[in-house]
Amino acid sequence: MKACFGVALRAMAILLLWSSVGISLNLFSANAIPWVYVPPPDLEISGVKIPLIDEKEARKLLDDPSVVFVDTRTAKDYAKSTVKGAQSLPRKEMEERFILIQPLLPEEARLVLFCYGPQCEDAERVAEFLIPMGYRNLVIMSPGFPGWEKAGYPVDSGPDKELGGKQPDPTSATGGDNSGPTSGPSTGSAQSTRGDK
Amino acid sequence: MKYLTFAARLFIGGLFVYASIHKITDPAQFAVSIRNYMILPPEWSHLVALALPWVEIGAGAFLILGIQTKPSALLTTGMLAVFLVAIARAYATGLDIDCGCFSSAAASHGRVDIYHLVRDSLILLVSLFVLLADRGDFCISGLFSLRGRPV
Repeated sequence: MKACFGVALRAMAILLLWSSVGISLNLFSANAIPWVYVPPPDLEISGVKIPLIDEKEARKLLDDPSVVFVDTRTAKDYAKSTVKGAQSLPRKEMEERFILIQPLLPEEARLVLFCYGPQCEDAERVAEFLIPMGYRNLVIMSPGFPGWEKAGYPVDSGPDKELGGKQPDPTSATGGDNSGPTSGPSTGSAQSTRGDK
Repeated sequence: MKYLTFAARLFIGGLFVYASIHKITDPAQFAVSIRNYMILPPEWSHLVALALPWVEIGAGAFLILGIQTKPSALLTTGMLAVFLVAIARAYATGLDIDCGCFSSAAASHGRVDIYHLVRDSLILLVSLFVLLADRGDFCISGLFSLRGRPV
């Protein structure tokens, strides 16, 4: 009995020793993380709570058939590259575009919205648009497509070819000088979308 | 028998060292794996992600080198028992998560299933065998002990 207690005591000492090493080395590590995890706050839009997740958590949803990724960046940026399987719903063209992709967005699906990163509000604006349409299961991937791409997760290049002619006026997506209301038809550009916070 | 025990000790030690490496190099990803199990409060996930891999590598290295083998085997057995409970709970509740055992959550795509339960159970048995059967043969501490008595 005494021997067992001695083994348990030494095991505890080893546990404490190596735990301390790990926690201390974190201070000098290139991959350091805070000692205490602080969950990102949930957004609340029109009374609907929208969790904010990072790209790693979003990656776990990619293979889930009940999840649809929705790219709220401009059509031009979507056409270059996007999250694998994502649908395009640009903030500045969402009304026209929504009519085209509505069959691909069942109301019961969980939609993962993303744009250019934590500083970008396009995903929130699209969420505001979708909630009155009956969508309640919305999630926002805060790091956006840059975070996803940087992590090396699966992407589609030129994913909107199949929609071809159904794309809204390309001039509205390839930049330009308009900066109208965000819900207005065919307005905005990559730059204005990114910058009009 | 002592050779079998020695082989089992090397196996468990090597396995723990190997399993700890990806967790040490990417603690943030390991923290995601921990949170996915939804057992601990999320706030603790970073602390556990920082400490646990070092306990794994420490206990594994001690087993390989034959330092404090009994306490180290007790630690590996305890950790495997906790992992087994966590995997069983995730499986029972139908959580669609990867086990995060030997690769990061982002790198692996398989959800926890019966294979992980069987695998962890077998490793647990081997670790338990080391804990109960090891008599301190092939220990560094035995070589250098003034008393010549293995630990």
